Amino acid sequence: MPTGINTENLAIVLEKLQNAIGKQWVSDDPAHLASYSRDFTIVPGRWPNIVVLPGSTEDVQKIIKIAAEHEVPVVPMSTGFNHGGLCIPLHGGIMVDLIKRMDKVLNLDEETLTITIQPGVRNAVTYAMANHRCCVDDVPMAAAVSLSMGSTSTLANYIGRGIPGSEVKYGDSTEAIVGMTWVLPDGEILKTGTPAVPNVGIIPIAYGPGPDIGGMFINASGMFGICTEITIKLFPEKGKERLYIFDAKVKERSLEKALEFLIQLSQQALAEFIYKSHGGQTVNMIIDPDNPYPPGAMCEFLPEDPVIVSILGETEEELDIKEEILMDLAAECGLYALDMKGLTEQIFKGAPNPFERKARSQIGKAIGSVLRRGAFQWYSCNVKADPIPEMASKFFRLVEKYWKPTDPKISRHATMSGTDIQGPHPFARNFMFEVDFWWDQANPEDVKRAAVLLRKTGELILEHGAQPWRNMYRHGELHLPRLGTYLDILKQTKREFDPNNLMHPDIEPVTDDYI
Amino acid sequence: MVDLKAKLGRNVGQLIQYRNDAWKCVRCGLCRMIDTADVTSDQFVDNCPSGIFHKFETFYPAGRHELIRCLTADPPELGYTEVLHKAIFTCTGCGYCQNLCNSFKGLQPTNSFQSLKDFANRKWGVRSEHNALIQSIINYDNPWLSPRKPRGTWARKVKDFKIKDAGKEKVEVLYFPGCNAAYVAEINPVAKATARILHLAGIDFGILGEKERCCGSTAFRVGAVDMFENYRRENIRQLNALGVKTMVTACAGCHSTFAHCYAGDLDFEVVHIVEYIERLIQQGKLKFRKELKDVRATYHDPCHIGRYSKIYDAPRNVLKAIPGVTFKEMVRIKENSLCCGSGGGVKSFDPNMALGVASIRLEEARLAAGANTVVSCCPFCEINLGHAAAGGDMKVVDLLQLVSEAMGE
Repeated sequence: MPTGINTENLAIVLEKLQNAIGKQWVSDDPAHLASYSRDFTIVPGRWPNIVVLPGSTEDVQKIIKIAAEHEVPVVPMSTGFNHGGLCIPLHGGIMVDLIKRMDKVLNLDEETLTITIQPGVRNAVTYAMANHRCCVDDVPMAAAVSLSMGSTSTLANYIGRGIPGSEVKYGDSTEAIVGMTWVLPDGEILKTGTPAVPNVGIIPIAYGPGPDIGGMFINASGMFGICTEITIKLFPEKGKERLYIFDAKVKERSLEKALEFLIQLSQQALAEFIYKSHGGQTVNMIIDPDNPYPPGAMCEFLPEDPVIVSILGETEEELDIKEEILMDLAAECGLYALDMKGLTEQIFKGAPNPFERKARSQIGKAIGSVLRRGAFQWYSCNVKADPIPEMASKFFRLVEKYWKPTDPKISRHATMSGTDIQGPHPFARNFMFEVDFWWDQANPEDVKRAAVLLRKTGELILEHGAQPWRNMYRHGELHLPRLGTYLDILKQTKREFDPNNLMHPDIEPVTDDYI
Repeated sequence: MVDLKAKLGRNVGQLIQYRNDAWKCVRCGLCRMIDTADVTSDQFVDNCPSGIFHKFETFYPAGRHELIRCLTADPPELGYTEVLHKAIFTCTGCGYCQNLCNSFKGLQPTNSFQSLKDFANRKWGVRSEHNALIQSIINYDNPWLSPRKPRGTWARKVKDFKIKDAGKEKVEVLYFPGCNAAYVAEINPVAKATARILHLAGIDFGILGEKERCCGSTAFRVGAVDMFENYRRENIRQLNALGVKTMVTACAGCHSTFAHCYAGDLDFEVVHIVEYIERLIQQGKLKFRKELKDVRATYHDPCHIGRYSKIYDAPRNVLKAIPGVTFKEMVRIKENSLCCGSGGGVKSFDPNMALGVASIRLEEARLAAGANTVVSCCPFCEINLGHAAAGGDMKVVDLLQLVSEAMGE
């Protein structure tokens, strides 16, 4: 039987796939292959050999079994909007588009406060279903992932650690995973978590009994299988909320002031959500086509390191008390609250509810705008508070060295290049730290510079004792070799699960012949 | 140079001009669904008609952007395939992706996909599915393969008042029925209703009858841009010579074409009849004398007066003013309206898709709005939705028909 990427074998594979899941859902037409070949990252595009659109877990099983039989690589894809080059078929093979047909909400459970979904269920839908259909004592529910594009896959955001830091208070999104269904490299089904245990079903805890192997699949970018269902916890959208934006009274050392403020807020567990943004992001949140001021000019009077804080309370009195404490803390740190009315209207224009989810869907849109031109990347990590100012300073030096925009009129500030800090981790002195960067995707020289900058950023993060949020741009090459036994076990596991290295080969350096 | 105010259908350039835009698409997927802030459930969320029907990424804006990038590369990275052609010509031009993306990213997907059609026609020849209607426009000034003479037949059947010939008499208002109203039997009543409404409101209006020529919209939307340009020049000359102050049309396609593709070249205002009627109601010049029975209506926003021209409230105000009509919205409305599936030449190119999307729209009308009547202001929408509704309980009518019926007399 033929195997591998060659004409004869692929023709047989194509026919088998068409027979297995339906001719209309399988194609090797160049137009289809091209449209699945690229994302907007620095990773160069590459065509798959076949594209398939499965409609069920059973379809995915059939695909993987055929691929395994004929030794053809398999690459899963959800929305395709990722900042890590995670859906590029580096060695061709079968591209599995998981969202176009597998888009069902399978279960919304008010007793356990969980929702079970397929890969094609997008964040906006997950939120809407939870918020509008799941209540406890009239309190609506919501999923933990927010500050993410409403148009992207909830499942992929959870298992692939999508936009970070959103609901750090509840743990990161992976801790809200109750159970998963995976199709393994040999086509067998693996269920994880309490739903996998007979006679137990869904209980909203993160791990099943005994050694739980669910964690192995998180951030694995498809190298151990394909996830077709996920059950996640929901959280109450409780009480009343107020939103503030703070700026430094004196711009000098604004980052340090903001960081101190964040530390105070975290250690006192005062805030629901804290987000130190940066000038460029603020510009892009409020920019609108009719604004006469160009982005660079606007940055003159916008906050360099704005801190967005949301607080929750059961009553207005509770919020008043928290607000008073918040303002005192801010003053101690040299910050003051901006006029929310005008700025909120600008930032959250069009959103009926300026807080929480709808506001975040607007933020998600603003982030997606990426300055209207070019591509945007972020690099994120978990880190203790103390190294942050030095990391930020070094990052800016890297940006100055490697970033040369195609349009010389665009300043660094106007390009989303900056640092974010997100939290809180209640009572702790550590945060999500993120750097943002923009370039002109249409300019090959810009892409090369971006690749170098991002590599150096990865190195910078590791030098300062930060843990990368996830593998980005194949930077597993940087952090995985540092892990010693951990990497050895990963390699062994990969050999056992996927001896022919067919599941998204070389997305991570977990094989001895990694390219 | 990014045009942050890029209008749908205007200044559609050469395909190479959109190459940079194609690189900049970040595949965020927002263009695949209604505004995320408006999502309230897992139903009626998706909003790209070709993507909804054909599913592959190639039929969504991000996929088409990649096709543009490949076709404008030097050397090109893609050659002709049936799938490529299908992906190009199943874009209905509904404008949803551009309406959304241009506002925050400055891209012009709809205009670029329009340019892509023009590119494909030049490179590989006009599709056979479109050849007939283009030849018909050239030979008969309409896309319906019908001779010119019957174009004015509907007007001759109006017996209770005489409709002036705008080519021979000076009038204030030119009523431009368009090809569908003139030649398609299901849409004839719209022309008669419009004329009747204008007459009862005391408007000094006339028509061109068989001298009227196609606005060229069909040619433009299927990518026959050169032909459209020739047509446009002839139409501008003919229409400006009439000396009218206002052109009123009941066809969303004609309205969009005259208002946008002819913008700046016409010596008169272009108004859709529904805005005119709203004005007449507000001025007390149009009164309803009859209460309609069992009309549970919902309104389908046509792309060409909705997203293209931002006319959302006037039809709703008129519909709500008609006695006896109960009105409820669907989920995908106004800027979020789901295209009926037939625009951009798709009705002739991919009739299965056109009917499939129309069926999805009717299902939304039934489930989300509890409607038994879908009301619209576009003959293309009404034809396609009507075909999908055939044999079922759902009625598809033009707003003008309800207005005329409620006016009584």
